Order: sequence, then structure tokens, then C-alpha cells
Amino acid sequence: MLTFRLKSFSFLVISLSILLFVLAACAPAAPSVAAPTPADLVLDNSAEPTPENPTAIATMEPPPTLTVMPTTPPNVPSLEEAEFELGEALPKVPTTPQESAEATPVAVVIDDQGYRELAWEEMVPPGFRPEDIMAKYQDELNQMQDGDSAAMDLYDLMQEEFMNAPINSELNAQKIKLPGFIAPLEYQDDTITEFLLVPYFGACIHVPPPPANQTVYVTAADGNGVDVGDSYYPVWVVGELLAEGQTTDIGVAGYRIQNATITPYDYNQ
Amino acid sequence: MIWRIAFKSAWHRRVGLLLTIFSISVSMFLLLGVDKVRKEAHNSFVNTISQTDLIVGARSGSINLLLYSVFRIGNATNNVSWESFQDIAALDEVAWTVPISLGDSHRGFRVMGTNEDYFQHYRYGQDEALAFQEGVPFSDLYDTVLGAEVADSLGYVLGDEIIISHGAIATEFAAHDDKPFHVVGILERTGTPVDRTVHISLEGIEAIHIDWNAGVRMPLEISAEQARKFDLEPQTITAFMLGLENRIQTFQVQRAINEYREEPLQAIVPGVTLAELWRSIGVFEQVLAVLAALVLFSALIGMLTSVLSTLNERRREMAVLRAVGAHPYHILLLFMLETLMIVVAGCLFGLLLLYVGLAMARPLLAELYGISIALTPPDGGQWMMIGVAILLALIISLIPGIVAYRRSVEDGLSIRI
Repeated sequence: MLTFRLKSFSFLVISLSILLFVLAACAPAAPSVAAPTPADLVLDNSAEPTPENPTAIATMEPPPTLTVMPTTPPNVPSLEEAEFELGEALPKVPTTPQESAEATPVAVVIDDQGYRELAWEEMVPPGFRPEDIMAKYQDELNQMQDGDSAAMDLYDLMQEEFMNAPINSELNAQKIKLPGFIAPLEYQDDTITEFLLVPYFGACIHVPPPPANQTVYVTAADGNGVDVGDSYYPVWVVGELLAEGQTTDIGVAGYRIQNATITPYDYNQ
Repeated sequence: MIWRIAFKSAWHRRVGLLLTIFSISVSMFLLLGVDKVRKEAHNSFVNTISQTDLIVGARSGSINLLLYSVFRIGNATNNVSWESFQDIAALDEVAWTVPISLGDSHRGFRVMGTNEDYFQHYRYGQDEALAFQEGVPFSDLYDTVLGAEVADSLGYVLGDEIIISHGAIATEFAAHDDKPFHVVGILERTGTPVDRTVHISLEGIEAIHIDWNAGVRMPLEISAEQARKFDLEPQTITAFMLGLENRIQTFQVQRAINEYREEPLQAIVPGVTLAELWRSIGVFEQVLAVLAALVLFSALIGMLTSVLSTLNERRREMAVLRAVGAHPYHILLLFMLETLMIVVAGCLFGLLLLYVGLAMARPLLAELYGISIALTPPDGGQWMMIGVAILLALIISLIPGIVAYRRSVEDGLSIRI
């Protein structure tokens, strides 16, 4: 009698331990399974031909003159949401147009190593922020009739201005902490060592690309790369921001962070 | 002392146990094999291209473009016109370009048309450039540079003549045999699909197709020397790689190419597309890993079944051991040691099967998928899998062990038949 009970009990224990073993084998990979799936990774570029000049000689328009729809203010997801939609940005403290015009920084959070949290809006220099550009053309827009086709051209002009805005050189050599999403560039085995950091998810696919002042070229410090499985999640990048206004012998224009430390973004903070 | 008893007892029942060992070794082979091939495939893919900002081709799908342009897996759906290529290459933001043209083959190896920029700008692994074992890049119309694997497996040296075939499979009637190519260079081994590629100039591709129409040779033949008189500037290419002056402008240039009005093109960022590829096959990898774990589980249950079923016959053995002074816990230990020997033998044999299997599959995987498998010893993760398997087996062996322990206490020293 006793032997029978012992046998069945030990069989139960064995089965549970094997189940745990199988779960343990799957658990490290589980985040990638539950990861947000971008809606459609296959490029869907159905561009309509321009009606005005079908026989125009092929001239390649350089990137700045992009006729793209502007990004509408992204939906700020609730802090509990684990899934990100294309174009969604991370939750942020909203700034009013007056605040940005006065260039008042949002509450400065400095951590114990002297790195302060940077907001993506600060990377656009004052005067070029969307609110400022909107204010600049407000009068002209107000003078237009309803349904005026010139309104679209004006909007394209404003969009161009935003896309071509320079970088904010005041941020050069500042120690900052910046949250964002990863577009991988270079790998070492299964680790991403160099990547572009962008403000919203899926920047590389469908939604209009971020302007040059909303993109950071990050090089991870040795041994600090991001695992491929984690690259679809937002991260904190901590390091010294280099902001070169012009391309020089020693560097190219744009924001860069070298020897960065990368940690997962905990949106439940 | 107890080891010897355990070993001799097991040896006595070796036929059944060998089958058990074999089933465990097959399951370990599966478990470790899945993990190893997965890791090697990742490394191969990741190490194939480096420092290239965009790859541009006709519109199909991003993963498709990556596979056919870099890994030579699959085929292009359409070509890129020479004008579009030149337009984009002339952009200020573009620092360098490497055009490539695929479609022909030589005895199973892909032939790629390109120009001398390829040898200068193509990088693989950790920003490593292509190096020559011997020879120089092509300069004359009918020169060719071979990858290391092509030269080794077909035994070519500098100065040899080769015939290029039309299409990916070599057939006699589709050979460009009137225009042989001379080997002028052989590249160092890279561990990437470059090793399995025959490189010729873009003009060479035009020359061999000059008297072909829609994949068929025309009756009006043009000899190799006559072909030189023609204007051999390429009309189309399959795809091209490009590097930018400033990597931060990657997205802007990519978007501009995607919206290029003159021709439907797409530009991909290789790093991003590789991550997409891993995600697509990531689910399969996990399913395979779970399946392999379940196979191990069933092998261990099989071992448990066989040991339990022989328990009855071994009662006399246990009684004899008790009679010569063995303590009941020695009986338990005996069963655990026997299981330990079985599972360790199974793991070792499984490793042997793994390496033999990988060694045999290496050429096939390299040819079909461009994956190079390195026969390295198991890494930390794999040793842990072996460790967990042994631990599980030991836990399972407790069942028959405890049953035998109790029975030996019940039976005492008398033998009940």
C-alpha cells in the first residue's frame, strides 16, 4: 500500500519537474513570442504616378524634398500596454506651445551618475519645433479660403521645413539618457553593436522617417550590445551625446552616442 | 567497488540497455543539433555583410531582397535599370555603390557580375575586407575572380579557363561555351557565400548574352573577340549595395529610393531586415526546441519503463547482495549509478552522432543556404542541456531505486520466487 502511494507521488514529482524543464527551456525565448508584431513588414509601396509630367526626364529628387504626410500626434499608450503600434511613441509629459516657445525645459531628472533624461522634443532647436513652424505660417493659413489647394502646398512647405531643421548644437557633450526604439545596423553574433535610435516604433518601415534631428547613431560600449530578441522593445540609451552641426574631418553631422550603455525601457516606472 | 558491481550487472543486461542508450543518444543529438544549427545559421547570416547601409533592388519583399542579393538564396522578381542605378549613385548622400548582376552559374556555383568597387567596398564579419589568396581583380572583359570554395572544390588555379552556363542549373545547351573566361584571381576564404561565387565584370555578363535572346542562343553568333566591339555598358542589374556619407541619413535616403518615381524600387537596411528574418523564423526555432525536449522526455520515460519491467527479475540479485552485506541504500545507489552510466553513455554517443552528422551535412548546407557550420565544441548553453538531461535521468532513477529499496527491506534475506 505504502509503496504504491510512494510510486505515484514520485511519478507526479517527476512529471512536474520535466514540465518545469520544458517551460524553462522556452521561457527565455518567450518575450520574442509575445513581442509586438508590426502590422505588415512587407514593403507596400504603391506609389501613384505623378499626373503633371509623365514624360519628365528622370531626375532623382534628393531626400530633403520628400512629399510625405506628416506624423499626426501619436497615441500615447497606457502604461500597462505591452504592444506598440506603428508610429506610437513612448509616453511623455506633454508640453504646451507656450512652454516650447520659451524654451523652458521639462522637469530635469538627473540620475545618480549625472546623466539627465532627454526628451526628443529638445533635440529640435527652438524655433523649428512643430508648434513654432505652425505659428509662423498661421496667418497665411488663416487667409486661405476653405478648400484652397494652395493649403496643401503650404503644408508641404511646413513639412519640408520641419524635416530639414538643423540639430540642436547646445546638446553637444551632454551626458544624457534617452529612450527610444532600435533600427539595427551592425551585429556581432546575436548582439547588435551599432544601431539608429528613433522616437517611435517602426520608423524604418511604413511611417514617415524621422528627420535627421530625431535620429541618433548609437555605438554600444564593448560587451553592452542589445540581443536581437530584445531589439523590438524600447530601450534606454545612456551616454554622452555628440551633436555635430556640420560634417568635418573628424565626424559627420548629426547626433551620435558612442560607448553607450543600453538598458530595457521599463514603461511601468 | 559499487561501480564495478553496477557495471557488471548492467553488462549482463547489455542488449536491452544498448537500445536504451541509443534512444537517449538520438534525443540528445536532436536537442543539441537543433541548437547548434540555429546558432551557426544566425552567425553565418550575420557575418555575411557589414558596413553596407542600404541594399536596393526591384520591389518584392524586404526579406526576399536580402536573401537573393546577399545570400544568393532565391531569385529576383525583376531587375533594376542602369539609369536608375546611376541616378541614385549620383546622389550627394551616397558615398559608394556596388552593382551586382545574378542569373548565371558555373557547375553549380553562382556567377555574379560586378565591378571593381566590389573588391574595395564589400565588407563581411566585423568590417573585414575581401583579400586575395593570389591574383588580382578582373580588368579584361573575360577575366574572372573565384571564391575560395569554387577554386578548392573544382581545383582551379590562376590561368584556367572556365565556361559559364545560363541559369542556375548547368545544362549543356545553355552554356556560353564560345566565350571562356580566364581565372585571374582567387579570394581568401571568408566563410560567407562569397566563397561559392564566381565573379566577373558587368561587361562580361553583357558580352556573354549579346547573341542570346530571352534565354536562348540566336543562330547569328557573335564570337568572343567580336563581342568586344559592341557597347557593353549594362542595361540592367539585379540589385546594388550602397554606403552613405552619413549613416544618420539612412532612413531619408531609404524613403527617397522607395518613392522613386521612375521605377519601382525598394531599399532595405540589412541590419533591420536581418532582425525581421530572425523574428519570422524565431517561432519555428522555438517549436523545434520544444519538440526536441519532448523527444528527450520520451526517451527518459522509455528508460524508466525498461528498468521497472526488469525489477522483478532482479529481486534475486538484490537479495544476494543483501545477503553478502549490502545495506538497503546500496541498492538504491546501484540503480542510480546504472542510470548515470546509461545517460552519460547516451550523451557521449549523441555528441558523436551530432558531430558526424554535422560533418556530413556541412557541404550541403553551405551549398543550399550559404550557412557555414563550424565544428566547435559545445558551448555553455549546450553543456547545461546535457547537465539537465543527466539530472532528470537521475531523478527518474529514484523511482525504481526506491521500489527496489523497499522490496529489499520487505524480502529480507529470503528469496521468494
